[in-house]
Amino acid sequence: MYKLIAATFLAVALLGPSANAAESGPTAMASPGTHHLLASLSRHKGPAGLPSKWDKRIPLPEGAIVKGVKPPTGAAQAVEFSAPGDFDHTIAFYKEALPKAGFQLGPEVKVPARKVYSLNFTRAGVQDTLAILPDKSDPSKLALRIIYTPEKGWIRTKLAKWEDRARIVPKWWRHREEEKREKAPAAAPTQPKP
Amino acid sequence: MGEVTLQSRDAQSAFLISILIIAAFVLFANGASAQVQPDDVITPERADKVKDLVSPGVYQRVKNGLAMKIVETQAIEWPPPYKAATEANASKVSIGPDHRTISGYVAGLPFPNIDPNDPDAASKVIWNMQFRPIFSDDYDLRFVDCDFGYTKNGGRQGDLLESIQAGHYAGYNLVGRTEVQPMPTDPDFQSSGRYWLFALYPVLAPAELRGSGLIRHRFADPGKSDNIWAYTAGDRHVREVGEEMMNDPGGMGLTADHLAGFNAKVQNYDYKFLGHKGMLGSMNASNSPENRCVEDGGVKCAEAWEMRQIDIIEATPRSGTNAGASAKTVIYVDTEAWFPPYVDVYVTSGELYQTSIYWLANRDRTTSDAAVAVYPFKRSFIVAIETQDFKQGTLTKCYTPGPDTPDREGWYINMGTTQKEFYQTETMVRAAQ
Repeated sequence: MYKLIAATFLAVALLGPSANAAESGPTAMASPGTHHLLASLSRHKGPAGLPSKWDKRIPLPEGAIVKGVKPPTGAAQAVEFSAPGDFDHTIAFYKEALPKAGFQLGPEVKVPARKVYSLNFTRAGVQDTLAILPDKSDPSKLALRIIYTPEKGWIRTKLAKWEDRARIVPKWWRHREEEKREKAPAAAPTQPKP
Repeated sequence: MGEVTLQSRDAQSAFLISILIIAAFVLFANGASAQVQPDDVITPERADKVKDLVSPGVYQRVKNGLAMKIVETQAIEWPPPYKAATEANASKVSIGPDHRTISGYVAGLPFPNIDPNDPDAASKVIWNMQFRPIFSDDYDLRFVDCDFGYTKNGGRQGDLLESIQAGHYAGYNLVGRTEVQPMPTDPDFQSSGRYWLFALYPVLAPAELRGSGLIRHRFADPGKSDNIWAYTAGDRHVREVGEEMMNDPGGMGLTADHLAGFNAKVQNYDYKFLGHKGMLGSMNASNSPENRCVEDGGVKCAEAWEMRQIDIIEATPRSGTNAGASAKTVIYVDTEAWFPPYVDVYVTSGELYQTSIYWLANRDRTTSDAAVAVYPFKRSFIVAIETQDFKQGTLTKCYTPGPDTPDREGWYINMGTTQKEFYQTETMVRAAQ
C-alpha cells in the first residue's frame, strides 16, 4: 500500500511539471510521437535568447532561433526569429497552432509576390502580431517578427490597474508643483543682487 | 544736363513706381502666401503672421505654443486606381433633389469639378470628403496612442493625465472600392444598405479599460441613423449607443465624429459654402510616426505646414436628426486630398468650443521599417490628431501610429486586412476575452 502511494507521488512529481510545461511552453511543430520527458522539458524552454517574460503560449516553428530582442516599448515587446520552412506552410502552422493555444485570430494580410504576411491575434484584451518575411541573411529561411505583450503573473495582473494609475499620479503632482512654481515669482519677486 | 538728369530721375521713379505697383499687385494676388515663406518657423511670438492663413481655432493653438515650420507646397498624387475610377465615373454622379443624397456614384471622387456658385457646392465638397482618396476600400491601423491632459496657464499642454492605447482603428467601405475585391460595390450593400463600417477596439491600456471598444455602421438611407455598439470591459456588456453621443466629447475632448476630419453622418447636417482660399495645412508631415515632445507635452515640435487650397464649409445640425449638440462646425477641406487639415466647432453662443487638427503624410509606407504594408505608390495617411477643447481646457493628441509601438507597419490601407466580420460585436467581444 505504502509502495503504491509512494509510486503515485513519484509519478505526479515527475509527470506534473512536464504536463504543465507542455501546456505553457511554446508549441513546437514536431510530431507528438517525440514526447519524452527530458526531451520535452528541454524543448519547451524554447530557443536560447528568448526574453524572460516571453509569452510561452505563442507557438514557434521547430528550429526557430532568436535573432534579436528589442527592448520593451510601451506594453509590447518585439522578438525576431529566423526559422527554416516554407512560407505557406508556416502560415498554415500559425493559423492552426494559435487558436489551439487559446488565441483569437484577427486581421491578416498576405502578399505572395513579396512573400510577406502579417497576422494579428488576441487573447484577453492583449493584442499580438506576427509578421513573416524573407530572411535577408539566409534566403532559405524565413524571418519571423513577433510583437507580444509580456506575461504578467497573477499578482501583477491584479495590480495592473494601480500600476497604470501610478504612471500618471506622480506626473499629476509634478504638474501641480510646476504650476505653483510658475505662480511663485509673481507673488514674491526676488531681491535684486547688490 | 540737369533736365536730362531730371528726366532720367523721372524715368527711374516711374520705373520704380511701376515695379512697386506690380509687386503690390502680385502680393495682393498671392494674398496670404506672401505672409509666410518656406523655412519660416512660426512660434507664439510670430502667430500674427498666420492669423489669416489658419482657422480661428488653429490660430489660438499657435498662440498657445503649436509651432509650425513652413515648407514648399507639394502635390498630393492620388492612388492610380482611384484616379482612374474618378475619370471613368465622375460625370455620372449628381446630388439628389433633397440635397442630401447622391445618385449615380460608382467609385473615385464624386465631384471633381465644383463651381463655387453652384447652390449644392457645399454638399458636393462634403460628399467628396466622404469618398476621399485617402481610404477607398479598407484601412487598419494597429496600436493607436492617445495622450490626454489639461492645458496649463497660457494653453500649453500640461502633464499627461491619461494615456490610452487601442489595438485597431479600422474601417471598411462597401461602396466606391477601387483596389480590393469585391469592386466597386460589396454585394452586402444591396441587401443591408450599409456603406461604411468602422471599428476601434480592443483598448489595450489603461488596464481597467482593457478590451473595451466601439463599432459603427453607416447606412445610405438618409433617415436611418448609424448603428453603434460599445463594449465596456468592466461589466462585459455590449450596449447600443445613440448617434448623438458620437459628437459628445465626454471627458476626452476628441469625439468619434472627429476622429478623421468630419465623420458625422452626412445627411444629418445642412451645409453652406463659406469660400475658397489659400491656407496652411500639414499635409506632408516630416515625421512618421509623429514625435512625442517629452519636454513640453508636444507643443513645440515644429511640423511641416504648407500653403494649400482650402474650401471652407459650415455645417449646422439638421432638425429632426441625431446630429450632436454643437451649434456650428466649420470644416476646412483641402481640395487635393479632400481631407480637412482642421475643423473648428462652435457652441450656440457663437464661442469657439473645440479645434481638431490633422497631420497627414504622403508616402509609400508608414515607417521606414515597414515590411508588409508597403505600397507601389505613395498614399496619404494620418500621422497625428489633436483636439483642443477650449471650454474644458483639455488637449488630446493621438499618434497614428503610436511612436512607442514596436509594430512598425502602421497603416494597412486597401490591403484587404479586415473583412466585414471584423465589424461585428461578436468579434469585438471575442478580442476582449
